[in-house]
Amino acid sequence: MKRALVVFAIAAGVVTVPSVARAGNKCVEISDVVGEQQCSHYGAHWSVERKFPVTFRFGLRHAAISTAGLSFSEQYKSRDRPKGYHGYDFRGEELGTPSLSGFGFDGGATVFLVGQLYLGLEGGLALGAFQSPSFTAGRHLLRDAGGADVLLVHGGSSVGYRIPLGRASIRGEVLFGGVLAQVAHSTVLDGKTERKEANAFRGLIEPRIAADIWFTQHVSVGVYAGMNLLDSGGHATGLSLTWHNRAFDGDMSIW
Amino acid sequence: MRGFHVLARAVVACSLAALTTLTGCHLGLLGIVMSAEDQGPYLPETLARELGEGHVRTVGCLDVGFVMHDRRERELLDLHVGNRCTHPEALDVRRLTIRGVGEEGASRAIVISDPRGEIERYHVGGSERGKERLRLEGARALSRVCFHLEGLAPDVPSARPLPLCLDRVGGAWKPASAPVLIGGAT
Repeated sequence: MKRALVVFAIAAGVVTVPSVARAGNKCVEISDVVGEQQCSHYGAHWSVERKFPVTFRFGLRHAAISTAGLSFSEQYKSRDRPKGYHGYDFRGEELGTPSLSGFGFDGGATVFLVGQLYLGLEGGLALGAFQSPSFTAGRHLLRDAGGADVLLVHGGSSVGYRIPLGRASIRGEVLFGGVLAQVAHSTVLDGKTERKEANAFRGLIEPRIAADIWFTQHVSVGVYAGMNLLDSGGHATGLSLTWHNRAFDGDMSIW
Repeated sequence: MRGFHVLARAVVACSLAALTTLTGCHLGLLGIVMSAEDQGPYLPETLARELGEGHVRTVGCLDVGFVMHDRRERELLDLHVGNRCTHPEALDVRRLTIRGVGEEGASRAIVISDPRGEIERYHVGGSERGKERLRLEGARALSRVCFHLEGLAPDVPSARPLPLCLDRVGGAWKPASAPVLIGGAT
């Protein structure tokens, strides 16, 4: 679970660094007059045509994934285990619950391609808890770990279309990607008890319906709900705060 | 680009906050976004309050403000624009006609310098405001300059805004107290 948090932090850093670099390199001197600079092209700060049509979204997300059909494998590095060590594997059905769910956050960016048609990238992380039955997997005895023992990490690329309705808008989009489900157990092997995690992966094709309300011309708040076509029990809902570089995404009305 | 700077701060704050508390991330982000000084919607008359009524005209949804600056080798014009409406409104600065009166009393046309050919008809985003610093050609040694705004807002072709004239008074440009219109487009 720590590793997932570190990965997320690094990913956030990757997004951040280019932004800072661009912000610091936006002006060039154009004369010998102190402070006189040419900072941008005409219309770059206010026109619909010249502002880059990008949005950034951060939000809260509740997600669920069904356990049926998942194959979990212990997550470990060979160098951290004795020679000849075999990790444990188990099927999702052995978790004794039809689904795993979590609550966390997500975020992403979208770029408008033509009109209100957009492409996006997003990722998220949700934490949850469940009461695991005790069971054996190979030589390992797995017991409930307690606390936050479910981690759902998702990521993918989305395509969608926004329908502007004045101060509100509705969007239909589909997210293509995957979900990593991680569950922690208190494991017993050769009399030694440790907290260990196991991972399973499932593809994600998540059609969504979303609705947004504008706070200002650059900030909106929205909700979405979607379900995973590859998982009958997989669904997600979210609440998002979005920053839009173009005012009202360039369009307030469908007419 | 200012938006990217705000974004960068937001992403950093969000990432750090997310590692400590999930809700803190969003509260922090909300604060950062809302505190960005250029993120608020443009409100009618804002330019008139900031620049003075004599520097601003309203054409359709657009408040357009003009502020002249003297520089040693050139005249600069700060063109301010604010969109009172929530829908995008076209602004075509190429159709702005500028006439000046020289100190000798002769009227002449003033041209906006556009060496990169980047001034085009663009739409001002809904509730958006902006500012462009433009260099004027043929504007040296003027005592008066008048801006004729017909066609500046192509979405409202019927608009007939009054010309806006500025006089050079003691080295500073001020709204003409008794506007004597100089001929429009020639």
